[in-house]
Formats: sequence, structure tokens, C-alpha cells
Amino acid sequence: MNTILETRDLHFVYGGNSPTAQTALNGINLTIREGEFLGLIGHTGSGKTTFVQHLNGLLTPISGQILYRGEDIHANGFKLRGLRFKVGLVFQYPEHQLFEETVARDIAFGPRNMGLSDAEVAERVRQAAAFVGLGDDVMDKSPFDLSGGQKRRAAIAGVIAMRPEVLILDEPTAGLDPYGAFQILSQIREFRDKSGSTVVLVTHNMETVARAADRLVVFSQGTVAMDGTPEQIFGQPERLEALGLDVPQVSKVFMKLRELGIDVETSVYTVKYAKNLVETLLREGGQVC
Amino acid sequence: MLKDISLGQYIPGTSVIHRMDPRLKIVLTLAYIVVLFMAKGPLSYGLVLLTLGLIIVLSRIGVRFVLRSVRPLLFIILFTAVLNMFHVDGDVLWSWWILKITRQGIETAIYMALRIAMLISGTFVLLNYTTSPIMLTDGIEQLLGPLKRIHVPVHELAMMMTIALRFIPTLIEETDKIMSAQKARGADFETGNVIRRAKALIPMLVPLFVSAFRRADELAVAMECRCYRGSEGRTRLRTLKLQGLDYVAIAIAAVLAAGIITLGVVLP
Repeated sequence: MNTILETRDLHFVYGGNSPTAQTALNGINLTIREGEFLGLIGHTGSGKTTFVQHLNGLLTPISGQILYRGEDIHANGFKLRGLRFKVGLVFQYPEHQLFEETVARDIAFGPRNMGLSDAEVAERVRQAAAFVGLGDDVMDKSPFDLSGGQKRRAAIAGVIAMRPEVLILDEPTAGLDPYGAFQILSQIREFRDKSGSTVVLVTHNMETVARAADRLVVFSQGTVAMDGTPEQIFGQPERLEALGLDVPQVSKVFMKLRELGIDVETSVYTVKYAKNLVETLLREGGQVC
Repeated sequence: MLKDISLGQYIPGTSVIHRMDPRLKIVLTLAYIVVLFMAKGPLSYGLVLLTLGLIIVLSRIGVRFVLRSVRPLLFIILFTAVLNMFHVDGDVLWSWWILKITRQGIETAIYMALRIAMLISGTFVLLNYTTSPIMLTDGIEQLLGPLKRIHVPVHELAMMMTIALRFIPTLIEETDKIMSAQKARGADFETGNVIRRAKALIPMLVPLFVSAFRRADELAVAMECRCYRGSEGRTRLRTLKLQGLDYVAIAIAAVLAAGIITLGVVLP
């Protein structure tokens, strides 16, 4: 797979020269490959949010480089505004950014800034709304009249409508009920599968990321602490715990089973896989229990 | 970044200046300003400078920060100084057309510049840098307490001030966040003519107002849930009481003030 975004030794400090300065990024080297679904996890304050704001040039690193398809985004002559249409970033609690009179016009804000024709904008709005499951009935409503979950969807659609090559979502399910969170996540996965976009999902919720991502990167104190497939990462529960993170509940069940002397894998992290495994075990005979 | 506009410039610390009673600090700051204007001549100015130096050293705030407080007003200081330089009559040192510089003019200019610089840095160290906004409003409320007798809603005003101060950083942060979010959708706040730029602010202002109202609403409900009903019968967690430290400060301040006034008003 081709590399789409790459960071080299990224450093960032909040608060510049003041005595309250805080190091947020401390030498991040990360390669994001085209088409992958990357889960970025880490404890609160580990630098996840700061990091993703570097990827579309909203924050400028103190030192280090960010390369988009091999080009330094802070080099002279590089169009940062253009980059923001290609690297779409959905902020934490994105519903707080809604401002237009109707949902449709709010979703159209991004595409319109791209300078597209009215017909193209309308088409993209329609498609983005469909992706996040917003029906035609809400499109002409004021975004402030929607429910919390619908607002979140509308805001995510506003970024999807730009058809970014990389879609970055910062805690897209924070504050939603489990069903709403599940739905949004499925829709993001569906969007990835249909559009072939690269997706970066920032979260501290293990259950969320276990289901969706094919690669996990764990941040800790502004550095990359772990990087690998979900099997590899969740196979090291002690390390995750040391970083202040948890493994999915199913994984815990399987670890306990192993402690009890039952020969099972420990890198189990989705309920579906666990169910298959348990069924096979039971079919093979009762001697395990 | 917007965060660099530091309105609440409190620098947390535990120095003696930090620990002083805010009421006393307000009173002493006022006294400092009054005494500063009574200083005259090199000796009394020297003593003011010494006082300021003492405050800065005791507060353990770097000189760099103190100088930073003066920087925004550098232009006004220079302007005043230059104006004074050309305006004061006396022994002419240099003249050209209608402009002339006198020895007295240069002296006045230097004193004037020093006075403004010391005024600003002194009040900044005493009030802005070492007193948290909450302590400051607490102090103001108590100092204005007597006005309650003539039905001035002192507590309510102080509470409004506290809340306003408390929410300035929050709103700045919020503005920052919304601006970033809109920029991520391609909003352009920097280019174009005045009308275009004003229009570009709409995607930022609407969410900002919505969130400010939401916060105000939530805060009001939260306050009511905790039975807030104004100053009536309200007691405080931190009752301000003068301590040993404060009496020492009063004594030192009195000695210094007496010295400056003697050198500045009585002696010359």
C-alpha cells in the first residue's frame, strides 16, 4: 500500500515560552497507508487530538515534518487550504460547529468552500447525508432542532461531503448512547468500504476500535508506544494496562479462561470471533469444562 | 494563536506576594500609585525602583515577564517622553526651527517614562500576575462592602465579574476550537476584503453565541440547584483575614512610602 501521510519526528508544545508550557508531542514518527482503517488510541492527554490537528496543517509543529504523498505540507508554495479538503478532520463534539439555517446548507459549507458547482454540491450533500443516515425530512430543518445524535451525524456529513482521501474522526462516538455509537461506527466503516478512503479513528474506547480498525497505534505521553494489528496490541494486556488503557471485555474473559487452565487464544477482541471460538470448543467435547 | 492573548494573566505560585490578602494588595497598589506620583528627584525615584525590585524579587516572577507587561505600552511611553522632551522650558541644549531640547526637558522625559513603566509593572506584579481573578473579585467585593448600605448590589456585581472572568479563557478556547473546525472545512478567515472577511466570521460567531448561551443556561440551572440566591445569608469558604504576613507587608510598605514621600516632597 502507498503511504498517504507520514510524520517525521514531530514535536509540539502548548503555551510556547510561558511557565505553563506543556509538551504535547514528543517525536512522533508515523506512516499512514492509503486505504487503511487506523485506530489511534491513548489515555486522555496522550497527544492524540494534537497529533491529528497536525495532519491537515491546523497546528504547526515546533520541529519535524508532515508529508502528504511525499510533499512537506509546510514547504513554501504548498496549499494548506487545499490539503484540508483532502484530509478531512471531524473534531470532537463536531455538532458544536453547526451554524447554518438548514442542515443541507450546513453540510454544503465544505463543498461550497471547494468552489464546486451548485449541482455538484447538491449531489455531494445528498450522498453524504445518505451515508450518515439522515433522511430527506431533516435536511430543511434547522440544525439546532435536531436531536444530539442527528446533530453529530449532520456534522460528520459536513466533512464527508468534501470526499476527503483521508477521513480523520476525533472521538466520533463520545457522549452518544451505545446504539447511536454503534450506528455511527458502522456507517463510517461503510463509507470506508464504498469510497476506499483512508480512515483514522481517534478514541479511548477499546470496544469501538476493536470492531473497526485494521491497525492500532497507541499513544502515550506524546510518543508512539505501540503500533500493530489489533491481535498484536490486544495480545499484550499488561502493556496496555501500564499505559492506562484497557482491553475489550471479551479479551478479558478469554484471559481469565486461560488463567483457569483452558487452552484458548488470548488475542480475542471481538464478540463475533469469541462466539465462534467458544462454539468450536464446546463442539470438540466437554472435557474442557 | 488566540490563547496567547492572555487576559487572565495569573501566574500560579506560593510566594509571599501570592499569599498576601487580596484586599491588602488592592489597597497597597492604590497606595503605590499615589506615592509614585509624589516621587520627585533621583533619590525618591531610586527608592520607588527599589520598592518595585523588592516586590518583583519576592513574587518570584521572572523579570522577563515583568518587562513583557510593559511592552504593549512602549509606544505610549516613548511618545510621552518625546513630547515632554520638546515641551519643557529651561537651559537649551539644542534647537532647530521651532523645536528645542532642554536639559530639564530630557530629565522630565526620563522621569515620565520611568513613572509609567513602574506604574504598569508594579500593578501587574501585585494584581495581575500574583492574584487569581477569583481572589481579586473577592477582595473587591469586601472592600466595596460598605456600599451595600446604600443598596448597591455589591455581591451580585462581584459574582458577575467572577463569572465573566472565569469564562473568558473558556470562550477563547471555544473560539479557537470552532475556528479550527471551520478551517478544517475550508473556511477562510484571512483573505478577501472587509465585507468578505466579516461574512467569513458568521460560521464562527453563530456557534460561539449558541454555546455561550447554552453555558449560561447550564450555569444558571446548576447555581439554582445548589440554592444560590444572592448575597443574602451567604457565608464564604475562604474568609479573608489579615495574617502576620500582611502586617509585615503593611509595615514595610509604610516605611517605604514614608521614605519616598520624604525624599520626594519634603526634602527637595
